[in-house]
Amino acid sequence: MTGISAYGCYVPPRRMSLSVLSGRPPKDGGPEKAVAWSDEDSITMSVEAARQCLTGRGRDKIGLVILATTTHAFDEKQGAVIVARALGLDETVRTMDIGHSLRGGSQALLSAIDAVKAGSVKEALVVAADCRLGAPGSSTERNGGDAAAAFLIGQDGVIAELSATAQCGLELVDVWRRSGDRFVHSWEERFVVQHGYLPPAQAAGEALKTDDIGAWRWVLSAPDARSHGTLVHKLGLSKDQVEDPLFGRVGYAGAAHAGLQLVSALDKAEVGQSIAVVNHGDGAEALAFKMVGQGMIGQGVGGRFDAAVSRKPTPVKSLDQYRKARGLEITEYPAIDDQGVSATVHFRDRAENISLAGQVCECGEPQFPKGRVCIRCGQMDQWSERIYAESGGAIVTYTLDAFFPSPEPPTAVAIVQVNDGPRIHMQVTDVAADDVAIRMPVDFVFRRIHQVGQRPNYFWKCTPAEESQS
Amino acid sequence: MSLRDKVAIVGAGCCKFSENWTKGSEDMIAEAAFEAYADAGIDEPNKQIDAIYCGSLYSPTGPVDVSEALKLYKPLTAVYNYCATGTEAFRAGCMSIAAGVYDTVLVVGYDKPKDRGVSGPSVSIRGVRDLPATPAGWFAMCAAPYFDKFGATREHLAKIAVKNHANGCLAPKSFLKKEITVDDALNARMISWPFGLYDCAAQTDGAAVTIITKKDLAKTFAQDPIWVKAVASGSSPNPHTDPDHDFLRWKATENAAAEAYKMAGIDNPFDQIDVAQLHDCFTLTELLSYEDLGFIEKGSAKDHIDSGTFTLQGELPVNTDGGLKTFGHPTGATGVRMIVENVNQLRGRADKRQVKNATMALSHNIGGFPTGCGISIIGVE
Repeated sequence: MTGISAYGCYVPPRRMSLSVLSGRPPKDGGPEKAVAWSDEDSITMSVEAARQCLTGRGRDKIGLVILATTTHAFDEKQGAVIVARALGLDETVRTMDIGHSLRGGSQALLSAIDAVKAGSVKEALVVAADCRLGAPGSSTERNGGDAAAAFLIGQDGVIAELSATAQCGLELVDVWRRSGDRFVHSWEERFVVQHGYLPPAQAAGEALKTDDIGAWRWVLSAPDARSHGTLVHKLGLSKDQVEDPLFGRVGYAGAAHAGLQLVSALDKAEVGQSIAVVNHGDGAEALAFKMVGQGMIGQGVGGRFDAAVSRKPTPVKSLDQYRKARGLEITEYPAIDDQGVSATVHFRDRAENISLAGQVCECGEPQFPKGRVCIRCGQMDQWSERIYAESGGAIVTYTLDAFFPSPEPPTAVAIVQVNDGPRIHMQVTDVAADDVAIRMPVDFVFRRIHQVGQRPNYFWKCTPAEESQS
Repeated sequence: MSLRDKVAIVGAGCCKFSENWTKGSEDMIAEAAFEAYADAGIDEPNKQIDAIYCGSLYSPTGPVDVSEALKLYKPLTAVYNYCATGTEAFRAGCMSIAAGVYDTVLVVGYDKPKDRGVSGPSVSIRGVRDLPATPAGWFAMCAAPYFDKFGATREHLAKIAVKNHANGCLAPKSFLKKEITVDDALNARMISWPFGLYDCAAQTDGAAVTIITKKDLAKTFAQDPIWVKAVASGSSPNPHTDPDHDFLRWKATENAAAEAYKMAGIDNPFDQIDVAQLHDCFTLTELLSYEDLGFIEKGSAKDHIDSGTFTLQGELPVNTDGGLKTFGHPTGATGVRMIVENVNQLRGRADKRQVKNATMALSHNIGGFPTGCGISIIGVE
């Protein structure tokens, strides 16, 4: 049996009030969208979704990592390999990206299931992530949101088995981003819905239907709430069997939108139930999963979506901050920049920066970053590597730096004593400045530090530790 | 080998520290050097000076600034040690004389940061680790643990700023001439907690010069010599990764102080030193230095700040010319400027800020993360 054996998701904590986005005062309890902040992007969200998915599991059976996103920062340079390194996976693991289509998430799932079924790999990790960037003031900006979902495909402890698939590929110019475009563009909205969205999504959904669909849960991706409602109606579904499409909470999360809802559906599904997933973009496809429950209830699975969506929700304070965090502020001059981080330095430092790898001397002294000589015993080159990404630690000391450029100063920065490890100078993220304190326990999260050289540059930050994580 | 009493200072000069929009590095170097020539009675520098030691952090061209400014055809050495650069140039010059290589040496510290078009120090974004890399952020790292352990507060830091602002008003060549109150300091905009604007030194342009000579020639110049008792340098591993660091001190200062006191034969610095110029790049740096230099017990600074020990009227006046805080901090110049102020104090020509009967003076720089320290001790006998 092949199927989903673990899953997880990530919703960035920043929430943009749609009122504020329209230049009005924020409304308590009003609609909002999840926003990847200036230190987040599709890669960092993928890493976090994957870490939730893999919580408490070994990672050494994973033989393939597939990343589906339309918003990787590079046209040429793989994203999946960054995710694999950040997860500390072996360099022999196969990695691939699926780009260019909002349907990439479900395509990645199918490809991973095929690879595991074929026996090429024991387990495959699928991550889908997107940061929807619409032009300021556009409906794409209002409806879009940022998130990531991750699924571990395997044959042991399967929760949900793939039972049917259907495809409907369409070639039309409805929604697009040309190479080099920053914003999503689209043809007239009514045309997009009537030809680009509804017919293929309905066709794929109908193809899955069997006699017992009354008990099925349905996950439907959709560009906006209204189109979602129309599809529910056309498929003849009742509202209570359809998963919340998250408009007004997260927003349309592109390649991750169906996956995010699937995580929520898996959290609640019972053994024997079926979940249909309809994913649109350049046509549509549908996947049906049957809950088999080998690894389910009582084994720490469930509650994943709620944990992700309720993790430190933080309102964005102003439109100005939002624009700065997304690089949309109006300026006549390009940002201060240079050649960026030297590619050779990046290469030498890749284990430290991407995997948070340090080392331990023969004498027992831990060290980060890697050096040759031990500060304790003075010996040279008696090191063995240690990965500290999952270790957590506590703040030794800190400052709140208002001088360093940031969309939302001050930047909290700390010396962190890693548990059973070295001390690391790290920024503190997802925390109110007033809450930073010495001795505060922290976890580590993978983030975009800056983009000098017009490239994303990744490293780890610390964040107040979760009280408990399943 | 000890440097004690082998080298004498015979000339000192300093240009006005300021945002010198109308002057370049060469202008400032020439003004400081010619003041030092006059002080020493030097009228033929190409015959009376044997070598130049200089230091700058921001110069894009380096030592050529000095040779061009002064038109000297002399061996020229540039040194670099972050904020300790000025003291480091002085130390290198003293060692060259003690080694018998040169008789008389010109020491030049200078910097021209205000030509860069930015306010404050550069923000480096070259790597992805160790960011944000701002001096305020580095020097603030002792605050939370120190406050936690010893009960000091931002108010004690503010009192240091108030003192140095008051002293700066009495120094003709200082940049800021503005008295402030504790409330002014506490209410200023934050730079890097716990540092507000008034906790931070004023970055300016500037140049300072000393002329040093060997013992045998010390009495042949215009002024009575001031004797070098010690020049020491200390370093420490990066405090960020030092597994044992308690963030209650800067180890580089402790290391350099031990060497300096040994060289100068000082066993009770609080009693034996009459006046001190300490590296107040941030108010907390001055506070920690009182203790790291052994003037007072670790943890007792807040009591001494409250009782005024380090004010002009106190038992051990610190930063008599306003310090980096208000005299200004052209990084490479600062260490040399401090020695110039100590020479002025020891020669009794510090006017309204004069410390009575001062015979032994200390100056101190610390820089990097911080990782490097330079200390000089000079005296009249």
